[in-house]
Amino acid sequence: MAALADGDPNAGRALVDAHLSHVLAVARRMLGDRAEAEDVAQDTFMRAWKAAARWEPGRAKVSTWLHRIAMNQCLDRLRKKKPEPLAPDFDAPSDRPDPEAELYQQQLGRRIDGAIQALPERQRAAIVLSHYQHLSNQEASEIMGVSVEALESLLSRGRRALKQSLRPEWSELKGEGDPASPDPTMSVKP
Amino acid sequence: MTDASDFEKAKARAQEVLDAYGADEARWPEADREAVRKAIALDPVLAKYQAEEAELDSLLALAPVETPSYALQSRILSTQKEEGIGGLGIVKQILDLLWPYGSSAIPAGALAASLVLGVASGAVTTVATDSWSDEQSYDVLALALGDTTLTEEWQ
Repeated sequence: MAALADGDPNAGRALVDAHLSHVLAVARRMLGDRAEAEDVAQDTFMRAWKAAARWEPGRAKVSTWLHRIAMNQCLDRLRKKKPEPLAPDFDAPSDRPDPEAELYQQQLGRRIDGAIQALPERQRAAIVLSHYQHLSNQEASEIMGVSVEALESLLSRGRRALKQSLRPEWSELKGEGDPASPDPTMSVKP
Repeated sequence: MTDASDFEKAKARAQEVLDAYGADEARWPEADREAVRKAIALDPVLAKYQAEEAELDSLLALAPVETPSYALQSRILSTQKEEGIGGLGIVKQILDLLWPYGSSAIPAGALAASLVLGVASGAVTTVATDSWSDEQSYDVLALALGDTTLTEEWQ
């Protein structure tokens, strides 16, 4: 960040190389839209350029800080465009057999993405930061401004909701005939 | 506290960890990892639950991953240039032109030190001109004016 504050273009490139994919992934999973996610990524880095001169080393990790900026922008955008629409292609799995395994995989991926989009935004944020971005519980809770206990509660509720909504996909993957029938293994809890 | 109640507590925490973080140990909080692993090893119901969570994890792994395009990278880097020119960037560019050998603090420091020394020595030193002879004064004047002719020729 110090090199960035000196206007070193290589430092900017290094920052983009190291963090753009993470920032874009957060925004894409939160917003469900590639173009909007790119706007968020661009704005996030613009803020980094502006803030570089005031950066205090040791106060926060650069990655945590960038995640927080991106996440806040996503939450702002989501609040502005309420009510939340379901992502396209989030519907019951088609019973039409698809000969192309790759195409099937893409469709399945889109349905899973749709299920993530359908989560309440705080549960979605917790899942994105903790599960997909592999951030520690401290980092994720710091970004979201909640306690670790609250983060764990959001994660549990999010995963439970995903289990419920992805039940047909789960059955499909396991090759069970009737995706609508409840999968007994999914509801077993010790 | 009994061993049995400790184990019950460990099982309850293992359940919470699996609920929140899923089956992959790498995602579990480091502080809990060992205890959760032990609880699962000792409890077949927890082991079954971990296997179910692993299925959800593998399903979630199928969600598409976006990779940044070259166009996006270029767009972002171009905004750095714009921001840099407005801020410290232009100063840095000028300094780099004047002193391309590394940190510009070195020549800037040397210049500042010589200025300070010059001003300080001028302030503390005096030249006793009262005791000069006329000849010495002419010599100094000739030197100051860059007159190359000998001072004897003036007279």
